[in-house]
Amino acid sequence: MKLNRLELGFGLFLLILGSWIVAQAVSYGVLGDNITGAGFFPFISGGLLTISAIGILVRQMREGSDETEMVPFSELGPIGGIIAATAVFLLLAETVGMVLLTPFYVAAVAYLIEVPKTPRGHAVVWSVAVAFAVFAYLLFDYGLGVPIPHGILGV
Amino acid sequence: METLNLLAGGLTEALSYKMLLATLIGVVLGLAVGVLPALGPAAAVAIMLPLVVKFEPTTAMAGLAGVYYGAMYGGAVTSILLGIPGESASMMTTMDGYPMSRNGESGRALGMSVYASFFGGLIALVLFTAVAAPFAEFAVAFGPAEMTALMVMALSFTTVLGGSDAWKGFASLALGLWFGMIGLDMVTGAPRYTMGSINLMDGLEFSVVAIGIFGLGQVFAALGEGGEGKQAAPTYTFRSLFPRLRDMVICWKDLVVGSVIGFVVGVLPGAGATAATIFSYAASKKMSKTPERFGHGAIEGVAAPEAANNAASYAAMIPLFTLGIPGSGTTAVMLGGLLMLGLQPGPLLFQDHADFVWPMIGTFYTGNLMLVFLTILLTPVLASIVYVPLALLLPLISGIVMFGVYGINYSMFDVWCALAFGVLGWVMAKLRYPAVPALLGVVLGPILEQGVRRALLSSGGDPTIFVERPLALALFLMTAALFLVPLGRKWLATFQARWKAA
Repeated sequence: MKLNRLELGFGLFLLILGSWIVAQAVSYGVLGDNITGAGFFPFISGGLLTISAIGILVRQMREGSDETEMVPFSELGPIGGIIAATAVFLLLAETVGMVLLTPFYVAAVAYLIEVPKTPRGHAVVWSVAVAFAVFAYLLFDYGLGVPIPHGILGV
Repeated sequence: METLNLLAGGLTEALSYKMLLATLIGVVLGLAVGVLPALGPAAAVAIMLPLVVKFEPTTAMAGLAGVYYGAMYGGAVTSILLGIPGESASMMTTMDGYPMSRNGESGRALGMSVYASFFGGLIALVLFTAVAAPFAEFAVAFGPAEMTALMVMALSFTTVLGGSDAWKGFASLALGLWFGMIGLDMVTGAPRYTMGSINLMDGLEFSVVAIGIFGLGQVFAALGEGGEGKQAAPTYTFRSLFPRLRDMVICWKDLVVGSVIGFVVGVLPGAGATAATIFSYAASKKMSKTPERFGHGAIEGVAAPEAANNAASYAAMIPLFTLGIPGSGTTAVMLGGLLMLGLQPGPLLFQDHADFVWPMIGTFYTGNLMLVFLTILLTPVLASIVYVPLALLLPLISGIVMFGVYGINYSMFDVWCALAFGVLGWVMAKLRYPAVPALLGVVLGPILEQGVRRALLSSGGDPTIFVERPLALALFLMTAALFLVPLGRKWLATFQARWKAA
């Protein structure tokens, strides 16, 4: 993916977001019975965001940008995969149990970054994944008293 | 005299086993974080927040602060041995430290970095002790106008000076301010930007935003940078790590100047330790009778930036504790930590919570001393940490983030938010939007809003309340100068060019 497209897209996103923030601020009331309304500061921050986004977009259109700078798939792929893995982890955590899911999550993220080339590499990944799950249970559930979701299996 | 008595009491507290243990854990983690390019002190402190918030405030903050100044010591190790700065503040150390290492002087460079870090830290701590309490007393008289002016100045300086692109800096700041406004309006009680969600009624948890942007965001960003093979670290003997008396004598001016520059620059919001190291390196080179040695293995080129970055890290805590205004990403996260622990940093902290402040200062002294021995002892371990594959390190960081964020409010919604902010943090890193203004906006925005709206309420809507007091007016003028002076210079240069062309 070309970086300048991401730049343009994000700039447009900020412009739309800023405009929406300002519109909502006006609906909350910029001025009110207490001199300032609930929309007073959002109006300022939304305005600042909108103006900054316009500045970024205008500069990009005037000066152009490096068409050759890319975000390679080798970077996007793992990031997208980690986001997906994390989303699956969060969706299943309360049903299956956070501790039980953790070794699979850690291993999945490790494999998404780099698949080991040797059996020893695979063994290291899974050992670290299981060890981390045990460590997390001991630290958070046992040590800090955080009520980690144990899921339907109670693990 | 009273200050010395209070410091003595604080040191006594800091020497208790609980405080020593917290400081030790903090500085060891800080050393490890300093070595790792994938993780900065701001991210580490953010990730630790959910863990330490369950402890007693002084112990918790001793650990968090230890991570911060410990990272300054640790960053030099890989800078010198491998030419890889673990932190941006260690970049200047690489300029001469790495050539020294390649010339077979690894131990000498490492020894000087440890000594310079200790020296810079000690100078800064003495100045901190001398200046902080009187400044806090002075700041008690600050009214809403002065605090508003200070916050606006801090936000502006950090945004303009902390990055290379002002437009992107202000966009980041505006985003942060908006994040801080989500939830119930503190004056009217009206819900703002909650989109009907009960989870958003209380607003976004600061630590969730910080962990997402800095913790997960840096994890994602590191994926795009890692992968190159690292050469083996050069060898050195344990004995060679001890600083030489001759080097201490040669570098005494660089150490003093570096420490003072580090302290002065560190106090300023937005400038940070990295800027301090650049200025101190430049000053050291200028003072030298043989400046051509710099960049090729001059011991002074290690001494000055290392003294500066440690001095700056302690100095950055002065505005944090005395005014409640953080000047960097890490101190912004620490401010969030203080608020989570139920402490309001600001001028009254020294008066109302002296039993927190002085032991904290005591832990800075003990931590600074601990780091001398720990860095020398752990150098081989620290150098090997950088070889831990990202494929093992990053999943562990992600896992800690998941559990840590969940542990704040026992809410999966918070973890989803952290993931979303992680993606935002990655996009911002990729497109070079500075993250620190966003974080400052989240932390200071609600405080600034409250101050401004209450001040306007008390003045009946008259905005001149903010410029009636001389100090507030002076601060606003300084902020205006920050924007107007560069514009004026640009206009003048254009005018001169046109005049010459004509």
